Amino acid sequence: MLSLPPIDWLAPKYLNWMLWGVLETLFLSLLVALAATVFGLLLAALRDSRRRVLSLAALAYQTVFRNTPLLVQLLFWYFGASSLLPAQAVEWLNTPRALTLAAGWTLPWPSFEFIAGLFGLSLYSASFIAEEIRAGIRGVPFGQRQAAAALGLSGWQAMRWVILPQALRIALPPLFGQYMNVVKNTSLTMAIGVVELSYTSRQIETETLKTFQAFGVATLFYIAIIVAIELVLQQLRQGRWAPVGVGRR
Amino acid sequence: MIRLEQLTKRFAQKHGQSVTVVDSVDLQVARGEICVLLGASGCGKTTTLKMINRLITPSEGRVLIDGADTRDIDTVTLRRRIGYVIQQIGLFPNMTIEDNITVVPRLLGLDKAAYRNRARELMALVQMDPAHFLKRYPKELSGGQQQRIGVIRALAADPPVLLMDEPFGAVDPINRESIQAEFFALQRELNTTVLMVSHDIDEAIKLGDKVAVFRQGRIVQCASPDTVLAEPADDFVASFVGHDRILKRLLLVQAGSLAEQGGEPVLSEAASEAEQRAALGERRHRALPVIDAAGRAQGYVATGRAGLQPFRAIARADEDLRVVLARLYEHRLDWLPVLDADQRYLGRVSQRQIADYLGAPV
Repeated sequence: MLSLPPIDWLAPKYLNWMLWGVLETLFLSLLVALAATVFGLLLAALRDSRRRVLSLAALAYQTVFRNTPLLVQLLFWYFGASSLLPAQAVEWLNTPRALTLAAGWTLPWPSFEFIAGLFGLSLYSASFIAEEIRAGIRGVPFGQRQAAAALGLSGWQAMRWVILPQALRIALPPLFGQYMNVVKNTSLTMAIGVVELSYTSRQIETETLKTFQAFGVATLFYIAIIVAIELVLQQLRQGRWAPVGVGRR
Repeated sequence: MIRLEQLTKRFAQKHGQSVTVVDSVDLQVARGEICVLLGASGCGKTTTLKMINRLITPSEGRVLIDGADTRDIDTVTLRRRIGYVIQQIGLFPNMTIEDNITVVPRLLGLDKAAYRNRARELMALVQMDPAHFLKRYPKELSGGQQQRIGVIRALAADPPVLLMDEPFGAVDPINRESIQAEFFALQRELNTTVLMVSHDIDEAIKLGDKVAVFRQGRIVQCASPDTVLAEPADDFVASFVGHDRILKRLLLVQAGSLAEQGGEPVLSEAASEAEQRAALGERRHRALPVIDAAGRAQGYVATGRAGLQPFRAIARADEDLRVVLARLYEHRLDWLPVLDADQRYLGRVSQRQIADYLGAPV
């Protein structure tokens, strides 16, 4: 008869490590999502700019960032970019320090690995997010622009109050898909030494040799994060961010 | 008042040729008038409309509003002075009805109480309960209700000029009738100058003080609806308004105005039957209405039939001749008494009178 080996659970100490990894993953993902959304909006605006130079520049940017492997981009920012920076700057970046906030709170200054990862992931994700936003803007009927213009709204007012609110509602599900990708993509930053969830599970596996348990638990954490994002999306779509025109009752 | 002078729009095509979409259009619409721009798709009527609020920049010519050249006014200011009702309604689905109506004063930071009151006032004018609708979203309203809001939004800033691009096209035929009537009353009350694009000849007849028929970017005829129907300028206009154009003139006249021209005698209820018979005379098939002291119709007496006959059908003074004619045929009658709202007798309208009216020039 086939007998399965008994499963030996991870010691609490390792679960604790992993929780820190989860926090790092969440923190990094959140910052990347924010930065990439802001930059993605800017990129989308540039792509649809009437100035040909600007739209071509944005297109060139997207072509480069969407068509090269993220891992290569991360390695480039971590190793490549630091070799281009002046030596003092690299030294400054690598020195541990703390940010002093009000009322005696301090925040540890993030490591250079974290900064490079944040930077690389944000630039990469922005190129995708810009496309989702553009698709959302294109999804708003032309009549809406006409109506806004005819009422005497300026171009900027029409964008801010009429087009973007509708475009973002249209783009919300694909945008959240991109945010899920961001979470998954943070695992690549382990290659440049960011101590996030994948990194810690790898570390635990090396120390305990409990391969199945280490990566299994990490997988569960990733799934939990993705499910949480999905729930947030569903929640938003039932409230203020309901698909366009569906009222709150 | 609004005046278009030699207004022209050319578009450059890919092969370097240019296409003239609107060709030297001259048009003048007096304050408080409704002018309907009528024509088939692609005849330049919408382009003409959009050149007035500069959604499209004219290639040549100018637009004067109350004497002021619109080129001297910056576009944003100009558009705030010109209401615009768009083809597909164009309400913003991300805003409540109230926010839709008040979007411009809100963005301008004007007095909140003033514009909110204005929204409520306008809602009441189109028989929509502000308390019920203001906090709703456009999708929660029917097409007809959305259309009313579209019109209200365009009128919120009290613009002297209102442009409408097939405003009632998206509304079903039953609601269209009542919205048109409602709009007409509202327009007369506010005395707004209206330019309305339409391809619906019936709408043009019903609403227009003036109809400008477009063909290939030019105005081929600009006249009152009755003139366009009775004396179309050319074969194109004649075929566009329809081969039944003579019958469409029926829509333009109300029973009341034809009845008052009759001048047929009436009999008094107080008179004896013998007196009534005497007045009737000896003519065959003759009938005369009998009215009481207050002028209300009681029925009629006719040769060859004894006693007072009740009316089988009547026409109300505000009914158009098409309705009256239909009723005449329905009951196989030669004439109908025309009564006002208080049932007072105004006169009669007969098949013969209608035929004379239709055959006569304007």
